[in-house]
Amino acid sequence: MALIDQKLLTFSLGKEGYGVSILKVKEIIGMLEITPVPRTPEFIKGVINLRGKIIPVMDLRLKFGMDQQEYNERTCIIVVEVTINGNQRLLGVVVDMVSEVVNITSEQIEPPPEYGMSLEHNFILGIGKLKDRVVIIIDIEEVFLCDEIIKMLESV
Amino acid sequence: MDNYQELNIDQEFWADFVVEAFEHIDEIETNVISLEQNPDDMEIIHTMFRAFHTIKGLSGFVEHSIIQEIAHKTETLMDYCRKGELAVNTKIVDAILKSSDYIKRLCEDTDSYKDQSFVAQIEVLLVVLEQLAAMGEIPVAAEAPPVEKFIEIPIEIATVKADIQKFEPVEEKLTDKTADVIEDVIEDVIAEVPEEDIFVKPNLQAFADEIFVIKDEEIVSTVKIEPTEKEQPKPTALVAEAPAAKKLMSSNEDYMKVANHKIDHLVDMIGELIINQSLIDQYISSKYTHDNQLISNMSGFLRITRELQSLSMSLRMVSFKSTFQKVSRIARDTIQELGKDVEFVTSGDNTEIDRVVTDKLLDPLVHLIKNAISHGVEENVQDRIKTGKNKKARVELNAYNKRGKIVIEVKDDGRGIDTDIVHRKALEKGLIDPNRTYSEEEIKEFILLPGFSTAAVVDNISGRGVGMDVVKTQILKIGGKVDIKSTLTKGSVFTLEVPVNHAIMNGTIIEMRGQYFIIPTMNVKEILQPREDQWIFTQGKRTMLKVREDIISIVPISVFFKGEKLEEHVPLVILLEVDGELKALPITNVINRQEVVVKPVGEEFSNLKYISGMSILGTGKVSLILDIDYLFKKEAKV
Repeated sequence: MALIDQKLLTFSLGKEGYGVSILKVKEIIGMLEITPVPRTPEFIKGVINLRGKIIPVMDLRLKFGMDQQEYNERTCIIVVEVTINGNQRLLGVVVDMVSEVVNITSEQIEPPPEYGMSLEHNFILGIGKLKDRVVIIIDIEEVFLCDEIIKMLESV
Repeated sequence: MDNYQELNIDQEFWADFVVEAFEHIDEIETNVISLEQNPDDMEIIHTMFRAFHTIKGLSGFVEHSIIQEIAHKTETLMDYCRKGELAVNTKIVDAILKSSDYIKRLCEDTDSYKDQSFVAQIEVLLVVLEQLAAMGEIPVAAEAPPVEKFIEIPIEIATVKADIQKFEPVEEKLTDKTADVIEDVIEDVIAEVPEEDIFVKPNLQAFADEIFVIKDEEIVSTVKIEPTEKEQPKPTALVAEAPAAKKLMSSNEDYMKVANHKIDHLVDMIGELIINQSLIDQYISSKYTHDNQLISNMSGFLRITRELQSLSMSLRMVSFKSTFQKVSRIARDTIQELGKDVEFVTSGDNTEIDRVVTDKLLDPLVHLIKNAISHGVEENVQDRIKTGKNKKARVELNAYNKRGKIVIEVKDDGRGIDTDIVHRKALEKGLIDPNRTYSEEEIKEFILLPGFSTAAVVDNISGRGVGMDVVKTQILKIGGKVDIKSTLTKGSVFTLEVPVNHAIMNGTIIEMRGQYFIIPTMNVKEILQPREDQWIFTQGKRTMLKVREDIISIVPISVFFKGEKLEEHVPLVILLEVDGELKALPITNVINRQEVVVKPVGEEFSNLKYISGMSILGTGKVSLILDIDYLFKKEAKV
């Protein structure tokens, strides 16, 4: 994804601010009852019924190795569209709180630093400098298609 | 073919072109097989001619010169066939199939034209097409070429005169049915009239007042047998024919093409509607029991949604046509490859079934058909003659409805299953218990065991001993069953019985570790509360259960919950049955038994073998459907 002027949906995990391209986001829903699917990685919370469609849900906190937090009324599921093996799939991402949609220009985006980051670099598209805060722009597809998921797809 | 190196395909229309081209190719593939059986069927020839003609036109539009050239050359060939200047033979059918294959490949892989060896194949085909067409270029009496085609005994051309000018050209496309009718009529006439006075006999007149041969887009020629003296042909007769033909064409317009995903979405939404409705219904029946008006309104509502659901399910129903078409094609290739004399017949291709099920049926059917042709049908024709059968073997593929299920039969009149050989093979391979005596029926079932193959040589048609067990697993997966009937020297019938609707299943909802799971009710044999003394422990774990005289092994809970052990107290055990084998699954509770709508497991969970699907329960919550077959496999011992 090229770093051009775009709209970002920003959300937070604890004190950290993140942004994801609005083009990937299908909708934002409140917490639903999640059916756990045993024998999947811990950050895969299970599946939900999104108006008759069954979609997997991933907890971004757990994915990023952060502590689990009780879900509350601010917890949201961001439904994003990802491409798995060439097929379009919907995926729910649990985040602490959805903030706002912001416009960001390419000048406001810094490339990811070389080191000193706790996250794996390929998730991070850049660092967005907003007026009052900084958001980490992530590629949600990359997050989902990380090692563990690929392992999950391939392992027996 | 240097000019092919730089194809400049019009990307904008390419996708549309591919969709349309595939439709025509499907049409070609359906027809070509029947054409081989009835090489004189003008209607088929016309359909195929039109299909190639359209592909040619469209490919010109998207500027794909290779497809255009293949289609053009094939069209030319078909043109000779439809003019009757060339009789359809196996070579022509082969060439047609190759053309459609190549066009398909070019459509599927836009870069395939860069593949030198593929281009070489195409060039060979083009030459073949030209050679075949050249055989049709022998000059024929230009006036009335179709006459020779329709009347196959020599007659004086002079008495039959092409007379196109007398009639107004008809604007509408006419079906080629007309030509068939005429052909029949003339044949009838010929049959009744002695050869020497063919145009004298009075009853000829009754038949041969006017005969038109109407070709698809234009009137190529209107052939009229000269009437005797007073009877003048009435041009109005042609007009009278036209509306009937037009009606036939327009029947196509009663259909609308809808994308699969839209229908799936509709089915999903209606499923959702039903779930919501059941929530409201539950609420009403618990809180508003006194309100009769509300309750009766609600039940009216329930009726409508139920109707709506069955209607939406019916939208997903498709006929077996395209499946049969693909199978026929493979059958033909197999027959040719093996060089056997086999007639392949299908029936019931208009039987309707859920689209999802047809997809799953294709592979098993291909296996069965290949097996029937390669193993079922005798290698040696002499063996057939010895047993008093026709030289030409017959393999049938039949589909029909039976008590809410779809039955598909693959039938051959070959050598049948030799139970002695099967039994011996099964013993050699250590697949069965050597100390037991098996019944004939049981022995036939052995061929469905994994790793069983009686074929001495592994060939590329079938015979690696995979296959039959794959057929069985696939069919079981969609909730069906396989049955084998076979008589030595008479032939075999493989019957597949599958549910019409794969999407709905009767499920037993159970609770394990506080979570609900669904088990297909057909696998549930019994639910029991085991007494403590029924348990058999090994290495400190509950591993088996004694039920009456049977010792039944327990499905380890770690299959679902990795690394976890069974609780000290197991209140309930559900006995599962697959193929007469039993296993016990410890559960906490049985919740309900109901019809559930099965949804496939998403790709992200495809490695989770213990689930076969998911479903949304009446509460709106998702529940996992357990794959019972998997629980019976050895690998499930985690």
